[in-house]
Amino acid sequence: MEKISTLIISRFSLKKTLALGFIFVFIASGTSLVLAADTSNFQQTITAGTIEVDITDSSYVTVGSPSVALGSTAFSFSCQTSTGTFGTASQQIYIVNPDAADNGFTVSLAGSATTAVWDSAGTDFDFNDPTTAGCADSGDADSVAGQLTVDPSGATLSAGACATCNTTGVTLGASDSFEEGVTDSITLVTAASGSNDIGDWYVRDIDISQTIPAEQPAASDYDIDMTLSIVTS
Amino acid sequence: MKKSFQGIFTLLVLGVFLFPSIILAANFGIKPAYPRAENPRTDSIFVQTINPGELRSEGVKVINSTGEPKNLLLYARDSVRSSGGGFACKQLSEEPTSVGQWITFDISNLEEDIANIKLGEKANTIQITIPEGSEVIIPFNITAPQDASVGEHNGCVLIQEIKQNASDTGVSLSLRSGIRVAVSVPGKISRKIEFLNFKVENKNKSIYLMPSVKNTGNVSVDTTAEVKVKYFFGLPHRTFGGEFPVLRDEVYDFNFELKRPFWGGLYFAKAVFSYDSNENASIGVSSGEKLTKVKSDTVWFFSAPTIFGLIIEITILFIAIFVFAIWRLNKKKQKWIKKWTDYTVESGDTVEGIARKNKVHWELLAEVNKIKPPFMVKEGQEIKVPPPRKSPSTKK
Repeated sequence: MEKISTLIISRFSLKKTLALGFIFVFIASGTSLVLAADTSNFQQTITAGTIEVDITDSSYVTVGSPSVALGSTAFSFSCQTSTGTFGTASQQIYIVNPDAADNGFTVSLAGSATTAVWDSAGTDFDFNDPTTAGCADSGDADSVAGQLTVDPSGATLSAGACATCNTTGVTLGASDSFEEGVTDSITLVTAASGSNDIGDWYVRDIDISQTIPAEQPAASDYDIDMTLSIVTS
Repeated sequence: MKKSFQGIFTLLVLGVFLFPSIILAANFGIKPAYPRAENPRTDSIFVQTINPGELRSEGVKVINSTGEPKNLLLYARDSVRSSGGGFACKQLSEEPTSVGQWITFDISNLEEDIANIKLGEKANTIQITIPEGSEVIIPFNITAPQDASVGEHNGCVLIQEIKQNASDTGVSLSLRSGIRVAVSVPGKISRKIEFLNFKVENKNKSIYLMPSVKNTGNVSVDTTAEVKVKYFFGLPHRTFGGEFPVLRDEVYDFNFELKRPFWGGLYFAKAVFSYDSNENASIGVSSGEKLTKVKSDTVWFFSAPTIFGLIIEITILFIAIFVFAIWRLNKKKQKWIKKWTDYTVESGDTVEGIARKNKVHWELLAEVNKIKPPFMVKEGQEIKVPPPRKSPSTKK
């Protein structure tokens, strides 16, 4: 190693080395390279990646077990509403389109099943029952009330790590509430064909609110399974 | 030592320039395995035209470019409308009944054996354990049933990581990505978009422009929406738009956010929707004919200004009122001065004395009569003085 470096040093000065490197890059720009043992030409292929939605922190590191918590509420004899935020600095919705969806995509949130409920050891309440704005049960498959509303319209939508990307053609969805069989999926973000073919974005501060029926038993572990999807269109 | 350091540094420099960094998209997902050059749209989605009872072969490329193996579920499901008209897919838990059922994965003759692949527990689902930094193509077939209606039918191919949800409270999230599968059954094709309504909402310090259209045809239509916002006097303010797929039989609610204009005011907006209505057009393929345009109604709306805009406007208003008041006073003053009468200066008169006698300020008297410093008048000089004021008794 020292002999090689000494040999190079004996023939080139550091300044000449740097100059040579710059010239080489200038000539080789646009040429793909790969190191091969038995070939003399350099090639490299960069294939398009796949579209992705993820929950990351502000440094774009994936969060292992993403979750969304709503604000704590006290037991009440009246129907009440609990609120929360989907997408924070520590758990932001991160969208990546590495040239995989040239005509746009849709990011949406849905229950893992239309019959999903907020569950805690046998005491449940619903997320997609619109009756009396979620305060009463309708004739749906379950016998519990409750409705979840998602409002992406006031959220923060920004370009991510890509320095030259922007949010042109990317729009936030409108506020809507889950209703079984009618609104089973709520659009968070829509990208038109004019959006960046190669780009990344993050979304924070989506307002969510859940109607909790009157006299819903107290528990600290109500949970519900939901799916965050991105689909090319 | 110095030479060693220089040598290592030189090699590093050369290494940086000789071997450009290899960029890895560190994620996993799927993309169409066999895009067709004649339809660039097939780079992103599956597009097939299939007669009833016929079969088409396709393939989905599953890619894991992360640094660890991934346990994934690959499955096909029907499409579902997401709020606002967006394209979404039914859940893993929901049995496919339409296009999701037309798709069958063929894992019997895979070209590569790098992934551990087996049928999943749910319908039309396969489970894949794919090593890090690898990809595999999963073939599948799309079979249009004999009773498939003419027009377009949509479904999805999706991928989802098999994970244990560690969260016991709140919303536990699963993440998945999908590709639209658009199957057209040939026949009498109708491509038609109709304007429904145009709503404007003021909320969250923004104005939301929400025109809606409905696809009354039997295939999806890529529709370009252009919404122009203008000041009440016609000057353009902002333009929004984009091309979005409007699925057959569905209503699409566009949602454009106009940040509250700095100055506020009265505006109007109008939307124009353009699409290829020719029956020879299809997804990703233009007929080459002129686009059909559908226009919305014109909607008027008022926007309050921003706080700073309001402050500036109030300030400008006060300045304008003040200037107007000064101008009006000046006009009145000029009119009053025209009514001044002649007066012959008498012996002993001074400018100040004459002004006092006529109840007017001496500076005004001097200004009107162009009397310059030292403000002296001569006996017999003719000057103008204000007309005598009428006493209350004479007014009666």
